[in-house]
Amino acid sequence: MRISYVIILIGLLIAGCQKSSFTKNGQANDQFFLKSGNIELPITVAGNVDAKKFLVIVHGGPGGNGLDYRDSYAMALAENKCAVVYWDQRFAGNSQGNNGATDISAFRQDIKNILLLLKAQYGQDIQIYLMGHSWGGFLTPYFLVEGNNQSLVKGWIQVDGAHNYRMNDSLTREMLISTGKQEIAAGRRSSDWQPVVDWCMANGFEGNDNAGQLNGYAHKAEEWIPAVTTPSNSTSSGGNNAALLSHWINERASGYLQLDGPAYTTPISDQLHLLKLPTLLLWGQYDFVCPLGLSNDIEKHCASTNLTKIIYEHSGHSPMVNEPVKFWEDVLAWMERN
Amino acid sequence: MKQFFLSCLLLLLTGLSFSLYSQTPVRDSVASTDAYVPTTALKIGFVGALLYPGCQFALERPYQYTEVTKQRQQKVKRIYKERYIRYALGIYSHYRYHTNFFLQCENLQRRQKSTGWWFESSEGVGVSRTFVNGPAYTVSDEGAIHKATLAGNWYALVSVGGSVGYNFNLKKHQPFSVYCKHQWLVLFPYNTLFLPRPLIEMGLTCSLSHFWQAHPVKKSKIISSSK
Repeated sequence: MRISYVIILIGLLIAGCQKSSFTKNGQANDQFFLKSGNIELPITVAGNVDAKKFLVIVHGGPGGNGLDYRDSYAMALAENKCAVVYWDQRFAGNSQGNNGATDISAFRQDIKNILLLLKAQYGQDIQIYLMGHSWGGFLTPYFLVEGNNQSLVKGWIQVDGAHNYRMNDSLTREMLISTGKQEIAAGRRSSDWQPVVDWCMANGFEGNDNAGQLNGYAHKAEEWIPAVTTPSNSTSSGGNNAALLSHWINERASGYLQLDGPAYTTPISDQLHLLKLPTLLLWGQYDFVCPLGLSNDIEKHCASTNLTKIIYEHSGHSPMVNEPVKFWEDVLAWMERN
Repeated sequence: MKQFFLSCLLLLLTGLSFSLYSQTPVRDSVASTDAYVPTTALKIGFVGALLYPGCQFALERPYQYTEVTKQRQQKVKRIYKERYIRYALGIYSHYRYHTNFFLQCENLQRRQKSTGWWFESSEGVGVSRTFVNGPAYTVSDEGAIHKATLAGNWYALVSVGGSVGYNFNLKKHQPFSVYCKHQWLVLFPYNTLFLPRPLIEMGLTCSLSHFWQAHPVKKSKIISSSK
């Protein structure tokens, strides 16, 4: 009997000594999961939680990886000033499980649940900034225009986002043709550009096949622009422990399931007037994947009276990779102001 | 982690020392192997899923073996073609991803030389239960947050693998062998598709002469050659 008490006491002591999963002050490097049905979505919160400012990254893809954004610049610059939340969406990165819902409304619910979870664990008084990139730039406004979701968020940061898929494809085609012609006329990489321009002239932007081809050309075209730079010391951080095969398989599952298919029939443009929260638009001048014209559409329709737009002249689709120092300085300064 | 790698290194060095031993010329290589019969054996191995450590316990039981004797002018060679069923329980832990417990049943095809060296291929089926490495939370429709207990998933698994090992029973009559095995586990359905996991396993096999005795069917084959 006495032994039982001792065992129970030791058990309670061990349980009591367990480190909390949530850092309440100082530098956090927390890892936890949001369980949604049969799938588990990993969330990493890294950085300074004292500032009570949380930057939630909604990654690209579909099928991307939240931790891809955690490079040496994000760690050195952003994580010093705020807490950065790296989250892997369903069918992406290290998310695991099976039979998860594939509809885009499930992604929207995941965002809401993550914000609720963050507030419950780190305090209702934390300020959350939602940063969508690429496909994440569709999900973010798609989440914000619903109900009173804006009340959960202090500000919206849109980085080369695809809030309107049809418009996106149309703009990509136009940009490939116009820039391609300029580059050919200037005698730069004519042999690369000519087939792209020819294809775009001969084909439209409608339909999955055309959209896929345009997206492929857009990624290549960015590499052909000499003005687009990437610092040689831009590196992904070690120790992220990403499951590479899970990421690879999830990327394929996202494509196979055509997760972003409904985005074509859900343009956010006509709902942007609902958005009234502080907004920061960050765009690469040479983004062929989600061209600059998309930011003009947001400027035109968004109802926010506090809207800032910054264009990166040496960047393509990912200014956080091409001009990381300026990018993070701009983000942090804007978060400080708002 | 450090201890795991040190142990792997020790096993590797042990294997290397035996390879040196095996290079000594043996003319009458079959004389000491006449009484050889494969037995039920317990296997204990360190497992690495790429960089992430684990271990595996297995029981292998022979159900058939063929003794092939190759008669040549200069010497006689003997090899054993053995078939086993292997029941294995393994675990590996991928930091910040999941800990995977897997139970599998494999069919092994082993080709063993009279020097003691063996090569093996295997294919298996089984089941896997993962536990996410970190606390998991659910959020209800009303926004209430609950901690999920034992969050993780069940998967079916298939595996293929190959290994190389050295059996001390044949030449030294010691009831153990060492081996190194490479295996691919494929968990499914994983987010609609499947998840491949490569494993490297290094371990020790101990023959169990009095436990769950096996009575493998023996076949013999003699091949004569004038070369």
